[in-house]
Amino acid sequence: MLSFTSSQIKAILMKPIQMKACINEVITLQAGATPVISTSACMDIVIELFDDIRTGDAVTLFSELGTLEAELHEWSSYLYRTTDELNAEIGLAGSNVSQVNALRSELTNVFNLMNTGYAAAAKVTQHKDQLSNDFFGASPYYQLNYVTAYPASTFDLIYNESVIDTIVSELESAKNTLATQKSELTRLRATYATTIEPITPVNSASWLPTNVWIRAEDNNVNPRLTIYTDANLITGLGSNFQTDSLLVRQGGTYTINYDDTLAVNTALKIIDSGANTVSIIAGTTATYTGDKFRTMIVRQTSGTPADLTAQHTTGMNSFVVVP
Amino acid sequence: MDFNTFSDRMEIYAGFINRLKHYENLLLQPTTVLNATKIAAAEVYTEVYAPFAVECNVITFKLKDAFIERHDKALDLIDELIGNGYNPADVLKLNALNTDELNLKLITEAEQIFKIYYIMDYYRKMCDETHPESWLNDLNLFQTINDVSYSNLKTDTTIFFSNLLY
Repeated sequence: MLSFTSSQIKAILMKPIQMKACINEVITLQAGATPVISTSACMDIVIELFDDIRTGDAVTLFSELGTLEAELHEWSSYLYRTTDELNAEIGLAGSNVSQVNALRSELTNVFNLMNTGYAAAAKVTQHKDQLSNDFFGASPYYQLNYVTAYPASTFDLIYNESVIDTIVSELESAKNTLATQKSELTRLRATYATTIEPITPVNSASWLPTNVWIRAEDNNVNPRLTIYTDANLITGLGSNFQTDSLLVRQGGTYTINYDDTLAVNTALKIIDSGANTVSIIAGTTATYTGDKFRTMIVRQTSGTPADLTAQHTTGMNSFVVVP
Repeated sequence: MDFNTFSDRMEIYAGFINRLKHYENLLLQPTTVLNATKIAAAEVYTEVYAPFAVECNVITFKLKDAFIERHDKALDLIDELIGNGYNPADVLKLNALNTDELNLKLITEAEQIFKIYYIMDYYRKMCDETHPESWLNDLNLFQTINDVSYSNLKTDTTIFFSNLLY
């Protein structure tokens, strides 16, 4: 989401245009048969000027535009998935014509909002890329070609206050679209609670495979649990899971294989949501139901510390038990 | 490089600094304004100020040599007067001491040497950040090139350089 107001965004984006007078002075410095200073010194000055406009708030703004663009894609994608769920809801409505019609209307709205989201994301991408390429990137076009690009008769046509106003307006519109998408999904989840998944689409979660191989990597001092989907420990799900990012089904059955060849004399300790240790696996295979998962930590079978809770990331309430 | 070319370049440079200064805190941060100023100043010092200063030094040495020559000639004349004792015929030689060729030009040469140092010191402040009174310590001073006082100074200096004795 953008933390800047429209006027703040405009102030940032107008700087390359307002800087034109300064750039013209620099060009005067290096122009003529006997320039006041050299081309390379002028380029150094121009770099200083561009460094100024692309630092501070501009960095934050472009970072936020990147996030806005990603979030619009993500929420539009989630809205797309919601169309399936609304279809399922229509199936549940059966012959209730008014309910079916209401759901069809919901479907149309969701589809339109999804479309608007993708279009807004495209606009954000277009403006972000163009402005970065021209002014705010590492080696922008107008910095490298200031001698010809700024005085060009086309400059004032390509970049002027009216153009910036349009860009700001479209960014503001994209921000509002995202807010609408979020509030609409909140409403849909509240309205069709049993059908629409209550999962946040941001920081997407993964289902834990029913048969996994877990190895404590590195060593006993700083073990890191990596989850693999094959016995040869080749295909990994990874080891750095965010909080509530692995899903297990409450009634599902999971086979856990633990490998301690790298962090020798260790065991895997599985703890449920009540902080009860339900099992320790040491170089063996065991099967558990989903309700047993909340946290995994590494335990040393000899020596201290016994529980290496601080040294890995899987033991950070990574599991969400889904009914 | 003559004075007109020199002063034109210094004014273009000063105009740029004034533009930068105008945008300070509006468009540019103070550090950017100072950094850009220093980049320009460093090169103006070596590429504009220093070459003209070298020419001025040459002029100064010529004036100084001429001064010494005339000063020596006057001393010789006085020595001659003292050596000969009082002789009414030497009054004519005394008159020679009172001509433009000696006394007046001596003073003019000394004055011109002093003025050249003054003028070059003024312009050095614009681009040499090591000068104790460097304008880079207060960029507002660059605005003075738009003042009447600067205009008068430039007019006087232009006349001065065109009337040099060397």
